[in-house]
Amino acid sequence: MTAAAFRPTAEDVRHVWGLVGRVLLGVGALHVPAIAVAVLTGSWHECSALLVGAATAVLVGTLLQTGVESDRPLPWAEGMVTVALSWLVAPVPVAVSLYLAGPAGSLLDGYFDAMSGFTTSGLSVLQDIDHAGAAVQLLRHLTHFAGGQGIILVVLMLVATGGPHLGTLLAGEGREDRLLPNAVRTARQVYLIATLWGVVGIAVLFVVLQVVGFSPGRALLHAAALFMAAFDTGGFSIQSTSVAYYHSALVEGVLVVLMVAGALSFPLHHQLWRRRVRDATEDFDLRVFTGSTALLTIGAMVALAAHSTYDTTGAVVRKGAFTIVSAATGTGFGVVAAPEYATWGQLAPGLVVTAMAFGAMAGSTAGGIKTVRIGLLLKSVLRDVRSTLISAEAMVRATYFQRRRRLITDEQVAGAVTIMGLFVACYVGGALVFVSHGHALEAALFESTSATAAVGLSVGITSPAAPVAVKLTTITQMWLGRIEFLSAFALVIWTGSVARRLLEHRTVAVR
Amino acid sequence: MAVLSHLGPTRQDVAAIGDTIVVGVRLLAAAMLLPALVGLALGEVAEASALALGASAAVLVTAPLRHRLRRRGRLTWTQAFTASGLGWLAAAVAAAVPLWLSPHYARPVHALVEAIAGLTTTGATLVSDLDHLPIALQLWRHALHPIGAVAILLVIATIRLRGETMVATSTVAEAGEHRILPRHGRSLRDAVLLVGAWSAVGTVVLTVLALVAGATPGRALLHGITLSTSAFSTGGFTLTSASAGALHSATVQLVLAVLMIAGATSLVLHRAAVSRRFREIHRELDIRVLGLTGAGLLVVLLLGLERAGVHTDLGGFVRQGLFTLVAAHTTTGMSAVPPALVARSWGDLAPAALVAAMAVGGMSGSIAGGVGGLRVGLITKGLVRDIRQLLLPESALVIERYHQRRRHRLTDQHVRASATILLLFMAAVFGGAVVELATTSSGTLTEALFSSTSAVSTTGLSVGFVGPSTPDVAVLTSGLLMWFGRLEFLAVLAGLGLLARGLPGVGGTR
Amino acid sequence: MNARRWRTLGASALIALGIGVLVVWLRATAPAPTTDTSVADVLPPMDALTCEELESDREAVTPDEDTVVGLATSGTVLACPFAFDGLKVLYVGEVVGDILQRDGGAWLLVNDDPYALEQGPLTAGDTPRGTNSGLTVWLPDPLTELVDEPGEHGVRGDVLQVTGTVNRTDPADGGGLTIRAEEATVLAEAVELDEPVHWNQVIAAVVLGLLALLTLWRERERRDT
Repeated sequence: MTAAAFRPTAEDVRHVWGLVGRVLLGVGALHVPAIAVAVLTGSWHECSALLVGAATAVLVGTLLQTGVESDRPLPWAEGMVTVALSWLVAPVPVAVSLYLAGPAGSLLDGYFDAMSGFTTSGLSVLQDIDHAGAAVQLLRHLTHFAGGQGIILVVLMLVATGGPHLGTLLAGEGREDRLLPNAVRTARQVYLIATLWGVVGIAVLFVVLQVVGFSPGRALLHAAALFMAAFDTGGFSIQSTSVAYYHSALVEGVLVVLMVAGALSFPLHHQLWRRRVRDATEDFDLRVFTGSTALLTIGAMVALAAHSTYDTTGAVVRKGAFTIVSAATGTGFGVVAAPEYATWGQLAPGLVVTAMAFGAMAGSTAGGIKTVRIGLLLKSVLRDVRSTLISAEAMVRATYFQRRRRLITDEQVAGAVTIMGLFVACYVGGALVFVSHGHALEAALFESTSATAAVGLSVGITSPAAPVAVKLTTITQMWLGRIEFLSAFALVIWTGSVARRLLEHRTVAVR
Repeated sequence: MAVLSHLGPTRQDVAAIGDTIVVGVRLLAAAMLLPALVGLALGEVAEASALALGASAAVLVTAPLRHRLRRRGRLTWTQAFTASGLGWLAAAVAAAVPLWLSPHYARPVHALVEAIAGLTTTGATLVSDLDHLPIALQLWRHALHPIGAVAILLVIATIRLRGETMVATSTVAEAGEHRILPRHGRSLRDAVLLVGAWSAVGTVVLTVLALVAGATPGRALLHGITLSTSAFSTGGFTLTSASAGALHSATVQLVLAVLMIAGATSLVLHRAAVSRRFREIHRELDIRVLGLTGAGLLVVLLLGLERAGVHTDLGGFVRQGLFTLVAAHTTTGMSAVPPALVARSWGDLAPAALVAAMAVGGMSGSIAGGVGGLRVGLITKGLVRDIRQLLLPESALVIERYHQRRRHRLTDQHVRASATILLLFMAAVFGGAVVELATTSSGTLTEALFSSTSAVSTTGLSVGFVGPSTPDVAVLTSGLLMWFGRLEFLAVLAGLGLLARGLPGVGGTR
Repeated sequence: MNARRWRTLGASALIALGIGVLVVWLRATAPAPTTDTSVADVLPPMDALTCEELESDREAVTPDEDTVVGLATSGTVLACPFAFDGLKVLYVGEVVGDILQRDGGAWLLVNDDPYALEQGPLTAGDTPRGTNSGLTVWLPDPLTELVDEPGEHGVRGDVLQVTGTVNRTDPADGGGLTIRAEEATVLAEAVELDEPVHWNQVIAAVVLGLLALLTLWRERERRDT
């Protein structure tokens, strides 16, 4: 049984928490640029709020870290537990900052937004963000950036001491396809590519925003925020009307490029970097992603046109195509207001939900089932169909291309079925909670899928006024979707055995 | 050895498949004579002559084929598989002729889809003015249910026999060339006996209950015959537009529930019960899964009804909620509540629970449709195994087992084969919903999903979305979905593949 | 595919086509019954209640418990059962199926669809008008004596006008939607339809039947040799 891997000693527990402490230090460091902006803009209220948040992170982090050996090897199971725990704890200091700075109505709302930020979802329950200061905006978007590249990677970059032994941490996040054997080098590579995109993306957006009428200072803030939200497939926005605020097809075009770039896997970026273009273009996952996104885009535009929601072709393309790309890449930028989806008929929102549920490439910052799994399942079904159609003497094989041609095994298919099943259960389970709070089934499925797949498009179920149960459900969905469930199971079992150990200990002490 | 290959079907293949279909259609034609005689006796001349005409037509159309195609020896597995895929459609066309002659079917499509709904034991009806339908036609449409039930049991017993696990897909490649078991004569007898015995007992009990409920003797007998054949075959046609609520009797509904559950019980278990091997029944994966989904969905359904404020007393909850759930889960689709009421005032949650129940369906290897409890169980077990495996050190190997008549070890192949059917099921449901949304201007996504799930799982439960006033494309689509769902997609695809290769230029004959 | 097999398929297809044409012709030439089933002149001359008027201002329509609010139809009651719950209404329709006599009264299925009130039971030459639509009515004794012939094939049943209360979930019917009648009158007695025999169809059936028997007999003979 599973118990064999889960008999944590007191030292094991300290080790796990020590690593979580290190993550908290990283979250503290994340506050630094935001505090700097607060000082520069002279918003002392925000500055003090962020300082409290940062201090909380650093203090607790340091406390957890004291006396933990850093070069101890990390077993597989504990790595998974650390991942699950880190994503739960990391949002806490940010929640404190957001609450004290003002836009979060309660600590829970702050935690909601911080979780949404770190998981690159982009759902928000903050109030009056149109009046929030630049520092708070930067902090929110920095959570996207940190979360997008993986909290764990942040740690590796900032505190690169425990290096080689932490290799198992990456697998827990569903980013198993390692670029390079060394985790630290992986992290550097990831950040090098991301920084490159960042420099180019921010520069282009900076120029474009000035063209559409921004002042240079505002253009810089918006460019930085938009880049982080787009490339990390997050979806936070500085203004309450999201991308519709810019009223510019040009901005939307640049964002589409950035979102798609964010939805490509890092191994793929790496191949392009190394100029292995053929490997990249023949990549199975890439083909499934582009194929399904193209199909869904066309479908949504046809559905919108048929339902005659919009009068012009331009409007159909800009609203329909942008929303599908935003959904398929798991970003969640909106170009229509939440209640407006009700005028979209039945089919177009259905396709948006499908795009969200599928997700983007594995090994990217997007959430959802991931297109590679969808592709594997499709190929497997087609193989069964073909073998029925042909019934030939020879076995019908199914293959896919990922750097080389590989055979699809039953084991891979079974694994894909497992993850798909868990995602679908989470989509449906969350929807049932929303339905029980009086929402229509279609809307509930939309919002639930959006949360679990870390997208962030909203039909308005998650709002500051939503009941606590709805907010908690959404937080859980974002967390589960990001760590792809299995680490969560590990955490539950691990916590159980730690609790049992503590109870035993206490019984002995009483005697 | 005769095998359908990419080179095209051999002459023996075509002969064997064609001959099997011809025999099936002619048996169906013979079955028309009984309601024709009843009609004659009751003075329903038009219906009696329509049925006689239909039977003759079936014989005459098949005569040239019968003359040319001659099967030699037993069928191979692939031949039987393909024949079942095409045979259902051929039989439906033959069965539709007498219906088409009646003014109660507005257009030929309605008659055809009604016949498909009957033979696939779906029970969604396209009849206009059911309450004034002649008795001979009532008997004929109800007869389609047990005929379809016997046929599917035959398919289960002979074609899917190899998989005690009933994972049809994995056996195609392995079993394609093998002759099906020599005992298919026995299988036919078994199937007829099973359906006949349950229906006969059900008829007697329900006739008595209908008498007690206040029906006149003649009508009571009619109620008894139609209700029991429809319930055990997990069909869903009924005598009046009030469906299972017509007799206003809780006892009748209870008996119907028992019959439906018996119909959704697998052939293997029926056999085990006959030989009194009850011991390990509670360990069967199928039964455990259905027990769990049944209980879970009942809770959701009742919660939904409570939230929508539909019921105020316990009696209503139990009688309407439980009965509707059983009817959905066994993919029978009789209703105790008018469809319009479900659509308009049951809220969102309760219909969603019904959709889930229809999708899971009954036991694998039973008359019921749906994905099947076993497949859902295998996929879930695969999931549990993966989670356990991930939490163990890499060296350890988790072995998951399940019980189906005996202990089996769960393999990736089981999971994959089950997933194939599940995914095809989902694709059909969503595809059907999209077509229905596109062709009917009104209707919500929930309604469209409800009706296409109802068709693919061969349930026939309705929210009034597909009926005589629906556009032909939507009606035809739901007919196709029933055909696909009944044969679990692959037999249909095999049949279509044969047709495609049989055309000149595509394949050719060896 | 060789030529012989095409000929076989072609022969089958031709026969099928011929039968298809025959069926279309038979449907087109079916004689319509001559019985007058119209009840239009005895129906109460009033507009049916709509969901909108009940849901917008129910108090205005229902001054007190015992007033008859107006004419209800099965379509509207099923569309907004909550609005109708507990209202006393007038309901008109044809009794079909069975009269289920119980202690103190009887359960009836009373249809108010076009087949009941407008064109009469669906027969040859009629345009089909969709599915049946009706409501369950509980008729207390001695009102049950009013109805004796429910509609079935070839019979348009008694057309009944009842005054009663809509019960959205009637405990006596396991939570079903019913109307509990207090008054009832028969607007039109049951009518039996005189259905003329469709001789073309009978002749076609006999001829095709004989042909089929001949075919079967020849097939058997060929197999024996």
